[in-house]
This record gives sequence, C-alpha cells and structure tokens, in this order.
Amino acid sequence: MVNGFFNRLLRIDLTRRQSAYADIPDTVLERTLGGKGLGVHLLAAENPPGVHPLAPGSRFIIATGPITGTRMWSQSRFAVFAKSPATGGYGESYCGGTLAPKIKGCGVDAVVLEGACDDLAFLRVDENGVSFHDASALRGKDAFDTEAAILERAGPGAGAMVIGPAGEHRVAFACIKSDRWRSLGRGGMGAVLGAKGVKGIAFAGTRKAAIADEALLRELIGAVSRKAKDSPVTANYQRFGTPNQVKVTNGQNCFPTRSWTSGHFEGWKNLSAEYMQEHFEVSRHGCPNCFLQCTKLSKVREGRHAGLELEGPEYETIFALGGLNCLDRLEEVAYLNDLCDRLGLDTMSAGNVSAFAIEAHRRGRSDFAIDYNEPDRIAELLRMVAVRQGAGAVFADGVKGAAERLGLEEIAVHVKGLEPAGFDPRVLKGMGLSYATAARGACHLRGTFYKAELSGEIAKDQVEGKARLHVDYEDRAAVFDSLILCRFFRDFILWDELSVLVRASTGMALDRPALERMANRITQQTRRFNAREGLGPGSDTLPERFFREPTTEGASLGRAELERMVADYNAIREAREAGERGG
Amino acid sequence: MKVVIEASVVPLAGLPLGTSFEIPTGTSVRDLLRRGGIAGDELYLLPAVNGGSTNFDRVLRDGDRIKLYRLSAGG
Repeated sequence: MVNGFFNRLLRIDLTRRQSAYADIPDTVLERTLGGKGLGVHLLAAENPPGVHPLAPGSRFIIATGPITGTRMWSQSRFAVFAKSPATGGYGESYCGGTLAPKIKGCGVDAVVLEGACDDLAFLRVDENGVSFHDASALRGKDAFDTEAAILERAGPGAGAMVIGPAGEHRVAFACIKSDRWRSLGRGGMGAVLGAKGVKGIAFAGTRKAAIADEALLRELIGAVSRKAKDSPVTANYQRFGTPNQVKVTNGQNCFPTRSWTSGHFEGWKNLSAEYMQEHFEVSRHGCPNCFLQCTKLSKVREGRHAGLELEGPEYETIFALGGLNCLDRLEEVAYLNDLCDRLGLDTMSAGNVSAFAIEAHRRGRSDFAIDYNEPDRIAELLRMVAVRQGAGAVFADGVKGAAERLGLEEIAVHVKGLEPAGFDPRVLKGMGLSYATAARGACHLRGTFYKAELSGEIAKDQVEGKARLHVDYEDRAAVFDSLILCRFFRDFILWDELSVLVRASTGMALDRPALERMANRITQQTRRFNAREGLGPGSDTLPERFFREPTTEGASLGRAELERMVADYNAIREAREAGERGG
Repeated sequence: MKVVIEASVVPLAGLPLGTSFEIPTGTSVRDLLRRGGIAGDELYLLPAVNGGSTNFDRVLRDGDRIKLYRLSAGG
C-alpha cells in the first residue's frame, strides 16, 4: 500500500455538469510519486492526441503530492497540467500560497476537467463533490475582484484559483492567480481554463491523507531546519528574496537587457533588492510551513505609484519588465507587475512581449508606438492584449505569434513558443541546454541550472560534461515537483533527504538510483508527449538570434556547442531508459 | 590541523587552492575568509564543507575540504 494519497481522482465533465470519482491504483502512484509524475501520466493518458489546447476535449489537470497537507516544509504547493496554448505541447505550472492543502483536503490526489461550460461559471469543490455556479456577473472582472467574489460565495475556509480578463480572452500567456499574488504563471494555463468557461475554482477540503511514518517525517523536518538555520541561503531569502539575483546576474553579465541584446543593465541598481529595501516598505511573507519567507510584501513609498502594495516584484518579473524594457525604476516594474496580476498575465512573457513590441515598432513593422523605458505604453499594450483589442490582438499569442504576424521570426526569442527566463544562455551555456530541452519551452525551473553556473559549481562557458550535471539538477527537481516541494529547499534537501521524505510520506523505500530512474521516466514522458503533439527532437533548440548575435559584452553561444550539450543530454536520458528496460 | 580549499569563486589572498595548509584549532569558515581578505560581503557567498553547504560560523575540523560558491538564491 502506498501512503500519502487518497488513491482517488475527481473527474469533472463541464459540458454535462457532472462529476465522478475514479480510483488511482497503487501501481500508478508507485510509478509516478504524485504531483508532476501523476500529472504527466494523466495528461498523456487522457488528453486526446492532437486536440487543440483550447478545444473542449482538451484536459485541464490539477494535482497535489504525497507531502501536501503534511507538516513538511514547503508542503503547500500544487500543480496544473494541460496542453499549452503557447507551445502546442506539454504544459505544467506550479503554485505556492495557501490553496494546495484545501485541494488535497477534498479527498483527491488529482482533478481532471474536460468539456466546457456553456456560460461563464465557477466551481466549488469540497469533500462531498462539486457544485457549479453562475459567474456571468464576473465576466471581464480582474483577478483580484474575481477571487474576492468567488471566496465570498464559496464560504469560510475556501481558497480559490481564478483567471482575469486575459484568461477569458484566451491569451497565450494568460496565467491563473491565487491568494491575489500567487501565479500558475507559465504556458497559458489561464487560457485553457478560460476556454472551458471556468472563471475560477474554489476548494474547501479539510481531509488529510495518512502518511507512512510521522516520526520519521518529524525527524527530517528537524534535520532540514538544523541545516538551514544560520545558512546564508536562508538569510538571503529572508532579507532580500529573489530580487537578490539582480545583483548576481548583472555582475556576471547575464541579466537579459534591452530585448536580449545585452547582459548588463546600466540602471540595474534601481531594480535591485537593495533599492527595494530602501524605497519600498518591505515585510517578509511566506507560504504555510516555510521559514524561508522569500516573499516580500512591499509598498511603494513615494512617487506616482505611492501606496501601491503587492507581493514582489520577484526577480523574473524584474528582469522581464525591467531589464528587457529598460525601465529605470523598480516602482515602474511594481506598477506593471500589479497590472499583470489584475489582468491575469504572466509577467515573464508579458515583459518579453512588450520588449518585442518595442523592437517591432523600431523596425517599422508595428504601428503601436512604444520605446524603451515607457511604462505607460507597456501598460496600454498589456491592457489591449488582455482583451485582444487593437494592437493587443497582434501580441496576444506571445512573441512567437506576433513574430509570425509581423514577419519578424528572425529576431523572435522563444523556444517552442515559450519566452525565456532571466538568464542569458550565451553566458550561462547550461541554461541554453535547459531552455532547449525543457518540455514546456524556454523554462528555467525544470532544472534551475542557473544556480550551478552562477554559484561557480561548474564553469559558465563549459560545454563538455555539462549535460551530466544538468541531468542531476533536473532529476532532483522532477522528484521535488512530484512530491511537491519548493525549489528553494534545494540546498537543504539533497538526494538522501529526498529518499527519507519519500519513505516517510509514501512508505516506499527508494534510494537515489531508484529516484533517478523515476525522474528519468517522468522527464522522458513529458518529452514523448511533445513528440506525439508534433514537437519532436528538432524543436529542442534555441532562437537563431542567440547563435547569430553575441551580447554587447561579447558573450556568444555556437550552434555546435548547444548541439553537443543536447546530444550528451539525450544520450544520458536514453541510456538510463534503456538500462531500466534491461537493454 | 590542516584543511584544503578545493575551489573558490573569490580570490583568497595568501591562501593556497587545492593544497592543504595549517589552520589553528577553532577556526571558522568566517575566520578563514577574513584571513583571505574577504569580509563584509559574506551574504553573497555560500560555503560548502565536504560536499554540503554550510554557514560561516561552522568550525572547521582536520581534513575538511572547503569550496566557496557564489550565493544564488531565487530565480
């Protein structure tokens, strides 16, 4: 018997307004470990091959892991899985905050949505099942108002995930929001929900799944605390949070700036963590069961945005809206961050898209007048994008879609349709490998390999042997995403601790090689899903621009260098798979 | 007692890399950094001893192998 699960999924047919529970056998959980493993398994099994991501037949899957709802550090995370409207391939996104235990508390390990509502609705799920509610009055409402309205109607104890206008209008980088500022950001998961006519889902579960060994979990919680106490990593998260990276990446010339032309922004100090501490009222904030408190609840002190309050801005938002668009003040990033939150747009793609609009206008291909360091023009563009009106219609399908419309494919920066994160791959070459091979497109989180390269664990420009360490980072992250643990515990939860955590929660005795095999299987399944949907090995590459143009600081990445890393990476993954088959 | 600094992302003045050297009993990672001319910027470094990340107050033992990484928290 596998512990830590309810062995049950909830299937919701939106077209017929019906729901039913189905068993998840132990054999599936043993092979997938929940979370990401379970999500990709269900997506591959249930999503009809070739279905359009926004068609009623497309599935939208929510999953939690065996540690969700326990006392484990960073347990409060959940994930969604769907075919991505941005890439046409595998889509996944993760979210912290307070919602995850309320999802699992409904007595299920996963929820599968299929079909579409005939009019805008919200769902309420609890231990007794699903109820459907009219949400037509919420049409066009922003994410903050939507969440407040749904929570009021859902009753005490409920949490919710919601979309803003961008999701309703099926924008390719529409996100899903929760707890106001938390996001299922990447890959357009908000558009999938919007296409299903679902404005939000409230969860109000309180059940707990029994885990295998409470005493062992308690022991592990203590061991992780001892390791993390007084660590510079902990101090950094608590004091600065992710904006700390602004200084680190600018110092190493890999902070994407001015539409991916430079790796250093001369105005970076005005976007830094230190600037935030000085010019914003900042207090620490965190998810339940987390001492890292990486989130910064911040309030703009002065200027035209004085009084604006938000969680963030986080590093990735600062790079995308700030660096790529050359904004000279963090207050302006905060302003656009808040706007994206309300509209339900992924800030990372939004910043990439607005920078692309600037380039398009400068080249005379777009009539929408916009230039660097023009936050109000960015705001205007994003407001139009969210409702697909005017110039917004051109840019609402992301950089890939806009480039195709404007005939600017040669300068478009995306992989498979997803715009990259805040680490320039011409400097951090292993991040090039990450962007090229991650199943959801140019993603920094599947391996968080920037850490290995920024920290000095491996040389940034090394190509030979890089794939092996990359696979190690990615494998550990795949297990994190299955359990589901927060990335930021990666310094404190290594393979040995992961093995203990799996035993304490599920009862399964899996040593490092066994966990690596499982991670390999999960990762390969995401790539096979892509191949099935038309994103074969040829799509595992980078935008031409990265090969053609060095950064202004002179960093470059050769096509042969990337191809070497990708070939090494594929060889390692395929050898492991063959080993598991006994071949 | 002797320790070895296997790798460092910052230059440590007067301390050898890759070869073991004598330190007084009771020396912490912070003491070692100060001896190498590094002080005040510890928040941007992450020390590791014998393969595991640690904190600056860790007291070193005979035979310890030290690496000094740049701290990368977030992203």
